[in-house]
Amino acid sequence: MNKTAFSRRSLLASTIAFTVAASPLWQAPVHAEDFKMGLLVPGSIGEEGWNRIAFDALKRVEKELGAKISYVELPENPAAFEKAFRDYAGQGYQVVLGHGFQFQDAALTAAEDFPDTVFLISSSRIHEGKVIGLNTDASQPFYLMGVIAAKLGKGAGLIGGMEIPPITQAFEGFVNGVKSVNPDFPVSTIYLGSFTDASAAKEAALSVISQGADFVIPNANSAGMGVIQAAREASGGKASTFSVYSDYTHAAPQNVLGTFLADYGQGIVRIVSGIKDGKVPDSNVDFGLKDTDVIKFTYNDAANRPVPAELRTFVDDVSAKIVAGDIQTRAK
Amino acid sequence: MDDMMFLTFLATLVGAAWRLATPLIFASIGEVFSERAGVLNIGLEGTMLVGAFCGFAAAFASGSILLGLLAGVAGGMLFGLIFAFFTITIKADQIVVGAALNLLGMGLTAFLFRTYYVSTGKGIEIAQPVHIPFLSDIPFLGEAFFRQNLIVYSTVLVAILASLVLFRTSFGLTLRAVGEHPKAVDVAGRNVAGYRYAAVLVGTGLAGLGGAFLTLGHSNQFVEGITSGRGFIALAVVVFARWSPTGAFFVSLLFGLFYALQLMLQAQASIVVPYQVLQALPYIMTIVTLVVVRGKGAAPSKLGQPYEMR
Repeated sequence: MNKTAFSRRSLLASTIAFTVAASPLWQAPVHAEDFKMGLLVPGSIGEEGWNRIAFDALKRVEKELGAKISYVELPENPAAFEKAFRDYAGQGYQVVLGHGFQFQDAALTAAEDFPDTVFLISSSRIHEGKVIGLNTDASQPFYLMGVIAAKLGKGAGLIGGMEIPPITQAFEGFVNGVKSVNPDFPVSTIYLGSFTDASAAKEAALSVISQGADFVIPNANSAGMGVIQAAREASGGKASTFSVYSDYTHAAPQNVLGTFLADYGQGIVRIVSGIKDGKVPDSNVDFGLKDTDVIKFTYNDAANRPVPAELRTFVDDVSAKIVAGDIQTRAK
Repeated sequence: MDDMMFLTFLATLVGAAWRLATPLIFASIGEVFSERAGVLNIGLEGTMLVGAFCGFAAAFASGSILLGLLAGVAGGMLFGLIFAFFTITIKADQIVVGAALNLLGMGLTAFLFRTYYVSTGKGIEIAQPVHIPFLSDIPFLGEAFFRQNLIVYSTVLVAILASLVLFRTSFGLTLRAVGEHPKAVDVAGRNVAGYRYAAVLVGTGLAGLGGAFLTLGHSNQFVEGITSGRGFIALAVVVFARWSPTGAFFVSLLFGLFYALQLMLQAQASIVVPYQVLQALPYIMTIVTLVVVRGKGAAPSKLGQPYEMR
């Protein structure tokens, strides 16, 4: 009796183990004409943040486009990237998103054998056949912030988490925006070497304010809250700042002049929607100010020195030139 | 940089250095107590995080900074009690337990914060700088020394008190003896475990206070991992300071100074030194000092060893 129970249990266990291990393979039978999207994430989708953004976008693709979806988590497992791409493509998935630059090489190799599948790669600028990079260009909204700071202020400080491309490129945009208005406007940059040290971020912002800056702009994830706090406290609360990537105007309603929101998930949904309708992008995709559904830049009227109407008109004009390609916000 | 600019720079630097040193001062003086009694608590980072979180949570709910600080100390001590139970009563390896507590502190505070504080809105109103008549208005000196909040000033008091307790009281003498020669203390009829518990609780209470300063006296929000390695730096401070509370105070200030200096020098366009070099300064300094100031040191001879009663 015992023996039977044991073997039944182990049979059940091994069945479950097999299905879990082979989850991309194990799918309910689907019709060939179904639209299917697969997702490869480099970590757990249970955590708030990078992987969750992709998962939420995938759920929206399912809901809004009626697609069949599947995902696989591949934490620290580069050896499995290519196999996962091949598994999805081999089953006729029309779109597979590799959520991160690290998936690029595996997608290029797999794409040679699957010409009908579109491989999207996050944080990448690649464009080779149907391997298409998706990226958010933060230098464009930062360029607008630079224009506003140089028009309204006396000096600016940029507080970055680490010296990595997404942050240096955004800051490059800010500096170019400043220079377009006033080449002598002082801008200093400080890197914290941390994305969690709100205290260091605050002291960094206080130090640039003490040296005459009245604009401090964070780009350091949660450590950036220290910069907002510094703007609230220093020089009688007269310093200004911007809310970047997400909206935390409420943390300093007097000091946040504007908010730059990035909704990358919406960008993914739109591109996949296009692919479903047969419109495969013919270049890599750089979401910028032209993509008003992905990147939003709004003003805070309750600030103690709100951006004046004529400057808003000017900024709109600059924004239009960036969209038209007449202004380069950073070196390509 | 002209002279006026330079003076402003110096004043801001000293002010920032003291603020950045404050959590290190609390935590390292606490650790001096713990290590003097022979208990090496490397779980400072986790303890400080618990203090930072408890302090924030209490102040957020009550609106009172004082309650927040008390909660920070209490949270730290509660965490210390776990450490003391495992290392003193059960005699588990101190390094292993300390490392476990660091992980627990990081995970627990992140979990609780995400569960209960999805949006903290404006955060809390932090302790305000005290305006001391006359002193705060002195040019430059006022900015450097006399525009801090009470928590920052209290570091001086804590350093003096800690030094008095450790070197001028019977409790302090016995506590040090527990770290040097516990058997003698035991033979004299004193409770070794009791003294070690007390030392750990003082240490973790102060570490909790150091963490609470971050959320209640500096930034007005809790951020996951806000201590950002300060607990580990405090451990280095203790060695550097040769297990002396006043030494810990000044070494912490030195670390704060270097930290503030690297942040401020980055903002100076005229300085061409790569900022990574500046960021590494406190650590380079630690290594150099440990090499130079070596020899038969002041390390308690039974540091890290559980006491086996016969």
